[in-house]
Amino acid sequence: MQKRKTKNMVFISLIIAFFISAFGIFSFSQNIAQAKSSVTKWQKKLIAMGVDPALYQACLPKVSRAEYIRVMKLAAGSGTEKPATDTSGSLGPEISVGLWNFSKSDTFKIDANKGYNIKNSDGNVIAQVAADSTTKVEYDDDGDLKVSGSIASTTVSDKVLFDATDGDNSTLIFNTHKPGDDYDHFRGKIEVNYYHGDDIYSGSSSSVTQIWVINKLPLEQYVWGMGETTGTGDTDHVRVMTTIFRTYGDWYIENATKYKPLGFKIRSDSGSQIYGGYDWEKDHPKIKSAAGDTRGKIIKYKGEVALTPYCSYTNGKTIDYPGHDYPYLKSVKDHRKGIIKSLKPGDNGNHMWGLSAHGALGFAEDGKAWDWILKYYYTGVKIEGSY
Amino acid sequence: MKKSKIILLVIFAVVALAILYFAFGVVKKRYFGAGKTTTIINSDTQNQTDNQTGNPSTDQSGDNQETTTPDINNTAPGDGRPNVQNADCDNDCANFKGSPDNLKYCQEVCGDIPVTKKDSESQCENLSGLEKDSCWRDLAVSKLDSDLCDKIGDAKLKKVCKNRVVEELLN
Repeated sequence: MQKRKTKNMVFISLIIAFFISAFGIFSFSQNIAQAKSSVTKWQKKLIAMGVDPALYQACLPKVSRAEYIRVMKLAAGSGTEKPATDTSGSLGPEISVGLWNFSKSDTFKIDANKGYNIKNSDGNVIAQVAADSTTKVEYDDDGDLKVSGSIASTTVSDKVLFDATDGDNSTLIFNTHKPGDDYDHFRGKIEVNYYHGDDIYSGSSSSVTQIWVINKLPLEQYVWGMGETTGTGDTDHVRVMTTIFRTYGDWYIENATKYKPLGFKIRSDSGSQIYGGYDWEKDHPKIKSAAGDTRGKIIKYKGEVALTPYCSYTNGKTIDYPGHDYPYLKSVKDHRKGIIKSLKPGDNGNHMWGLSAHGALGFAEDGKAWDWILKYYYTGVKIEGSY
Repeated sequence: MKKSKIILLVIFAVVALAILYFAFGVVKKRYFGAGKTTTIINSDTQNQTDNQTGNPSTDQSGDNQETTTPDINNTAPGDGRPNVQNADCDNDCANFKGSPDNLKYCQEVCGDIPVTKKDSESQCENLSGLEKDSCWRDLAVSKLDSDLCDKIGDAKLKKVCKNRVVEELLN
């Protein structure tokens, strides 16, 4: 009896020993594999936490666990571990957004939350102005603009630029005093640009004279002012929207030429995508929070920024984009929440290419993650941290 | 053999197989997968979501599909034409002001010269060089037909044309 008991014990011990060894081998293989990877999980953790890359530059290409711990201590000590919506670190490439235009008979007024420069078209500072001092810009003559108000009346050429005296444009908020619109505060730089030529904005061939108000700011801060949603829906849906908004903006930075003669890359209305600026950012903090969760993430295809069109609804499926240039814009079945059966492609701006915003909301409410949703609608893409 | 021993052996076999299965996945991914140096977040989450939901989109790798339209920085210029970069577009093609031909080319690539409405292919067929390429671009944008961009000889201008048609279509 005793012998049999001992035999059983030995048998069970052998099985336990096998499990432990198997687990050990498994963990070992993982560690070896991790060591072989050029981007270790420890580096990914540092990136996800927004730690300044300068702190672990010396550890690259492979950040080990020990180095991770050391870097985290350093980050905590120096206070460089920053929240996702911090304005420090890279905020991405600059995007120029056409806000609105005024005519030769109108006057544009501007002031800011801190001291600002007035620069001419060569980028030379013509004056430094106190925060609450209002500057006026009007049409002068022969395509020139006239600056007055905060300074003695000065004629400049076809362009005037306003930026921060202290060099930090990320915390500079301009009040552009847009007539009849409360959403008229904007982060970053403001440019006023004279244009005379074909009416590119409206698409007609008639000749027009327009003086454009343009907001120039980093891509990440542009996302904070995303006017396409209020950000009050499911968190993953807001993350989806901020990622496509950022990607769409990046595609325009890299590829758009249509509005170049007007002085900007992208419109601020539904002609491109709706951007509400600082007032929108302030009133809808969940957008900024979701932008922080997806900070710097860009949808890419074969290493290039993808074109990410989106619309509100489909009639059951998204549709293939014509031709072969955008293979990731393939027809996929939409979520029932994004379907309006009677809709035809083009109705109310629903082109049905790419992502259906209401369908994406449906998937998010079903528990799907933001990156899953994006990869569902944009076939074969990757989501990469670009800055 | 006692029943309890058989059960133990079955459990042992199942757990061993499970460990082998997961270990194989990790080793295959790490040692035999394509090398990735960027901070790609989908390599981790994709497998996870696929296992959960059978994502229909994730079994299509981007590597075996058609080419996409790169930005102008990554497109080789045509013969004898300058390599215009986005930075050149930002400074109004200042680097090409010494050569009228190169300046015109840069301005076309950057979109400084607005599109002129065109109606038919016959307007472009008898032209040559940059003028012809620009004409096809104008026609493609006027007709919202990116296939017409394929008639452009210069690779960079062809990409600009295709992107310009997209801008019109999405506007």
